Parts: sequence; C-alpha cells; structure tokens
Amino acid sequence: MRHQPPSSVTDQQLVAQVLGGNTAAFAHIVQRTEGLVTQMVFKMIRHPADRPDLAQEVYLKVFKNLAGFKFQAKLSTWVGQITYNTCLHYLEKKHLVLVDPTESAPDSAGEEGRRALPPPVAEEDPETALFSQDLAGILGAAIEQLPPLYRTLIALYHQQELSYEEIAQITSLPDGTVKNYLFRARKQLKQHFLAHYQRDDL
Amino acid sequence: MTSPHLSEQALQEAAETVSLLPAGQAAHLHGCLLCQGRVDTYQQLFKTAAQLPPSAFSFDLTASVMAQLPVPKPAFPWVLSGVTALVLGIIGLFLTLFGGLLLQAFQGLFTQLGAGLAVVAGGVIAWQGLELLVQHRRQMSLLTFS
Repeated sequence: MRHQPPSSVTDQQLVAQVLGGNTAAFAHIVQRTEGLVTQMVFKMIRHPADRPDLAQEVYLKVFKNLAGFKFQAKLSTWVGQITYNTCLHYLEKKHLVLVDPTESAPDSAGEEGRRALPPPVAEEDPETALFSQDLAGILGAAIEQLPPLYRTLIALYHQQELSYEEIAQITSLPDGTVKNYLFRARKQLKQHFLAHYQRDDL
Repeated sequence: MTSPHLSEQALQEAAETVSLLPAGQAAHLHGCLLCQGRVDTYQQLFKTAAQLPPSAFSFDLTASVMAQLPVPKPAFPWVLSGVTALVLGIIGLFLTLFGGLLLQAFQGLFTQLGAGLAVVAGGVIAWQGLELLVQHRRQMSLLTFS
C-alpha cells in the first residue's frame, strides 16, 4: 500500500521539503499529479512503448526545475505544462500532427435527419448497465480516433475536470481556442456516436 | 414554432448548463423535442466521457521515478569539520606554549626509563645464562665415562 501524504501538507510545503534535500517528499508530488500526467501522456502519445519513458522524463524535468517554480499557478498545472511541452516536443521530433489543420470549421448546419441517442436513465438496471458499457466502448474507440490534442482536451475537461482556464494554462493556448477545439472534438465524438447507432439500425 | 433550432455550440452549452442559454434559445429548447434530443445526446456523451476508466501504467510510476532521481550530493560535514579544526587549534596552541617544557619533561623521563629497561634486560639475560649453565651441568653429570 502506498504511503499517502497527509492532505494537510500543502504543495508549497512539499516543494520546500524537496528543495531542502528531502528527496523522498518528491514521491508525494508524483502521487498527487500522476493521474494528470498519465492521462495526458496516454492521450497525446499513440505509441505505447514510448509512454513510460516520457512520463519519467516529465518528472525528471519537474525535479530539476522545481527551484524555478514560483507558485504562479497550481503545482499540478505547472506539472501539466511540462507534460504537454514534453509530449509536444516528442510529436514534433517524430513529425506527428497534434491537430488536423484540414479539419472543417466549427459549427454547421443542422442534422435534421439524425435521431438522438436514448435519453440517459437514472436507475442502473442490468440493461442500462450494459448500455452504458456499450456507450463507454464506443466512446473510448471514438476518442482514440481523434487527433492527439482533441483527445487530450477531452480528457482534461471531462475526465480530469479542469476548467477552460487551467487547460489554457497547461497548453498555452488562448481560452477561446481551447473552447473551440473542445467544441470540435465533442462534435466529432457525437458524429461518431450517431454514425455508430445508424449503422446498427441498418 | 418559428425560432431556429439551436446551433451545435448552443446544444453543447445547454448540455453543460441550460441556464447559460439566452432566454430565446432556452424557450425554444423547452418546446422543441428535436433540440431536446440533441441536448440529451451531448449529455449522455459527457456523462459517459466522465465515467471512462482513467489511463494507467502497468508499473508503479512513483517507484520508477524515485529510482531514477539523481542521488543527492552528501552535505559537507560543517559541524564535524569545525570541531576537528577547534581541537587541532587547541593542541597546536598548547604545543606552542608548552612544547619546550614538555620536551624537557620527556627527556628526563626517557633517561630514567632507559636505565630501568637496561637493568631489567640485564637481569633477564643473566637469569637465562644461569639457567643454561645449570641445565648443562645436569646433563654432564648424567654422562658415564667407562
């Protein structure tokens, strides 16, 4: 079982301990932020074999640059920035595209002919649970088909529950661009969803 | 119903928080089953996305990172060094001040010690010599010359 730092220990105290020579305190920083880092690395990097090295590289950078962190943002946001930049550098090195520039502009005409998915059901009966599993599988596959940046934004906003402002800080993108990309990503997911259900109807 | 259907942007906003919609769009949504269905779709999408299992490595990332951290340089032992310098300083000062007296005292001591050691050594040698002589006589007395 992992030793968790008491919740009363603030990020500032942890950083001070590490800078004071208590390297073991860095483990608590890793534990507090590894969910975010792992999520971002998995979403930005398609090649599974490269993910562990990148995640470790992120934390080595965090450790080396910890003295330069001045708490102008949350520690997790700063770690997220390092993760994003490290992954971005990897993608550039491999000549991989972060977001497809040929993609169509946001918003569109209506989709009159398309039907909505069955409405969410509050009670979790077995049939609903199966339906939810089915949806999760479809959505997971749909997210994997998105460009790396869209996948990352979906994960940060809907799974990590970060705000637009925090995502903008991590990615160094303007708030409006984050909202716009997120909008496009969700729209693509919805189209994938609907296409899947229409296929099933045939 | 004459008002246009909600745009994609408005549908997504409504799926997050209906109260963010302008009054006209909110009124349209209230009376339009098509737009309600689309909002439901987005809500289902968001709910499912939030419930997706988080990605995770198959190894302990924390342990792996900690194993790779650079080994911290041992801190210079300032206290030990200070105490050592202080002791050496005191000894040096003592020798400077009382070195001559100490030398004289040890010189006298060396003479007495040397004499004592010479007496002891002489005694031991003499005793060994006597022992050898006694043994020799005993063995000679055992010999028979017929």
